[in-house]
Amino acid sequence: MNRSRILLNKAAWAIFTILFVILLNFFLFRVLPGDPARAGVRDPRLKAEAVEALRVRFGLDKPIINCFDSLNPIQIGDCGVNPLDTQFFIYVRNLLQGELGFSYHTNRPVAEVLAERLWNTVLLIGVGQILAIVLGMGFGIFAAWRARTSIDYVAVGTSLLLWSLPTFWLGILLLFWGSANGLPIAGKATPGMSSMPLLQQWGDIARHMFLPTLTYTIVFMGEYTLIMRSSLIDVLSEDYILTAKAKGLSAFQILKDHALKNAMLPLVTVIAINLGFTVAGAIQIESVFSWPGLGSAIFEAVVRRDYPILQGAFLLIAVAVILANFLADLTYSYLDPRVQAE
Amino acid sequence: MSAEHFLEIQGLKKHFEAGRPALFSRDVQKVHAVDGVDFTLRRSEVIALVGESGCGKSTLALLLMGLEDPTSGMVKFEGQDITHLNDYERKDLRRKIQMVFQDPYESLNPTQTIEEIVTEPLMVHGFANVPDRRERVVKAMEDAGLKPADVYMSRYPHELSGGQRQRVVIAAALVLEPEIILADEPVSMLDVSIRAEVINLLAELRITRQIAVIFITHDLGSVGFFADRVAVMYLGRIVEIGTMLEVLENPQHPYTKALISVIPVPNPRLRHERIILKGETPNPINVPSGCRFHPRCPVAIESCKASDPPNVTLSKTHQAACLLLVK
Repeated sequence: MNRSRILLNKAAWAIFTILFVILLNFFLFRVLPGDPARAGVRDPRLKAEAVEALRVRFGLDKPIINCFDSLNPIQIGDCGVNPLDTQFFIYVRNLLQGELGFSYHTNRPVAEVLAERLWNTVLLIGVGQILAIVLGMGFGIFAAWRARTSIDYVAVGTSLLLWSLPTFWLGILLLFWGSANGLPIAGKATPGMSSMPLLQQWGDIARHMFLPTLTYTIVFMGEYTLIMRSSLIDVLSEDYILTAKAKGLSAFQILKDHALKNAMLPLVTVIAINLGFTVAGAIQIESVFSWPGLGSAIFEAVVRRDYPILQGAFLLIAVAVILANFLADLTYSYLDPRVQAE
Repeated sequence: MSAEHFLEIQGLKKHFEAGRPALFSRDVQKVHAVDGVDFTLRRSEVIALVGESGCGKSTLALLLMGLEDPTSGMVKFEGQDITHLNDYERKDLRRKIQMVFQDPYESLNPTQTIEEIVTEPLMVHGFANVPDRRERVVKAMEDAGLKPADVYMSRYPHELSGGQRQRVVIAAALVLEPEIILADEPVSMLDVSIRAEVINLLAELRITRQIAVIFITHDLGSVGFFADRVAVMYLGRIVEIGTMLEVLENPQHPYTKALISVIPVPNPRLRHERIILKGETPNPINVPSGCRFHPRCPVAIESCKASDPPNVTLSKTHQAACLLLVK
């Protein structure tokens, strides 16, 4: 198979997967117990007419799909209704028009809410990922280069420990440490900062980012260190490394020209998958530090049964994961010529 | 400098530590991989180093390449002691002594093109900017039988057959115009049909380029016809060394006799009785006392268990280490 056909094939699968996610997205949340009209506004004094008005406002009075008025609890309805007048097909039609709907809770367009939250998440996770990749690779290379020495053992032990730490627990520890040292521990910016000069605003955001980014970096660094180390040790025992040594290449040249490119392959896979989920945000970290990212948006939406936000967020995550995997495939075929042949 | 002193190996030993026999034991066990090897290599001479797996052939190759540090003994190249050079001092030497590894599927970096693989040694050794760099690469590839070189340049190792890969390995060795090629079982991973081609290629090179070849193999039959001299190794030592005719036609050591007796002979009328050795190569951790071959030797006598046999000179070029030859 030639390259463009492989790419086409992969793209077709990606689209198929996204379609499936759209389907799943819709029904998955409606199987959850709870009524969005009631979960959104938890006021027992709300009159039945007002609740009904909310339901009509968001189209929740319509049957979910032909034959089903509701999925939890299951209520069998009329199978003969016009499909275009059911919640599912309205959702699909809106989606095809690029319309993600309005949040049940805030009444704002989903796209707007998600865009705002996405940017915050990308900022936090992006910086965290880059730091984790750079540090993890560095420590991994160093540990592999000094394999089976005390430096290596310390590196492996520490990485295993960091990797196994519960994220929220580490976050809470750092939160205590940070608050004792005068670091901001919640939110993205100090209230009132928006009237300050831009440079000062950025400085403020950076200070707020410090603790969540640190948590994220520590958790992922261990994983990257371990993968990089074991992969590099594998490659360093290959015959072509010995050949390179016999040809007179220095240790640095061997590492740079022969070992790293081959040892990067497993790491690229893991990074790509992690990057895809980056968009999902680190729900735990964002919750601990009240960071207004996508992760906390999802968490809040689940609590409030805010289906449009959830549907939008999950679609975004699915697209991001699929895209990241697609990029990983491309990177792979660049790094390893053998991949193209298959 | 006489031809005799081209490459000289004296009493070379390499003992690896193999851990302790018991958890709290004080003494560390040692693997006697190479246990006192002497031989000399002349300019543009082909010497075949033959032995079973585990006899220390490959360790010997790594010692000669400076990829392992010997426990004791000395290696001299052109009269200069090269036993314990550091990487920097050895760099120029690496250009003169090149190695071809056993498995061409493992010894080529899968992410480099053939051109990159063959060019790299030039870059490393300061020929990056010579005007005829590309010509050198083409010549090395064509000398190694990759003709026309352009066809192979932009390919990757996985697109070539085993024989072609081994030719790439040889081309990458040739491009530096070495004086010695150390080939460690270069054909054992190849199909039988391609083996002869690669061996012929090495045989041609010593004629066209005056390259000395140390050919390490476990298959006496495959090298006999192109080696000048044959050295037979057993458990870390050379037990018999001589010209190809002396060793193949008139073997003196019982181990050599056994090896030669099992070379397949196509003509059934010329077939002779095979000497099948008992047991396996002993563990190089516990080397047998006396003659290290005595537990498997069909003609061993009582004194073989006690005394290590000396090298008996049978002719100017032929030596064997066996007590029965001592007169």
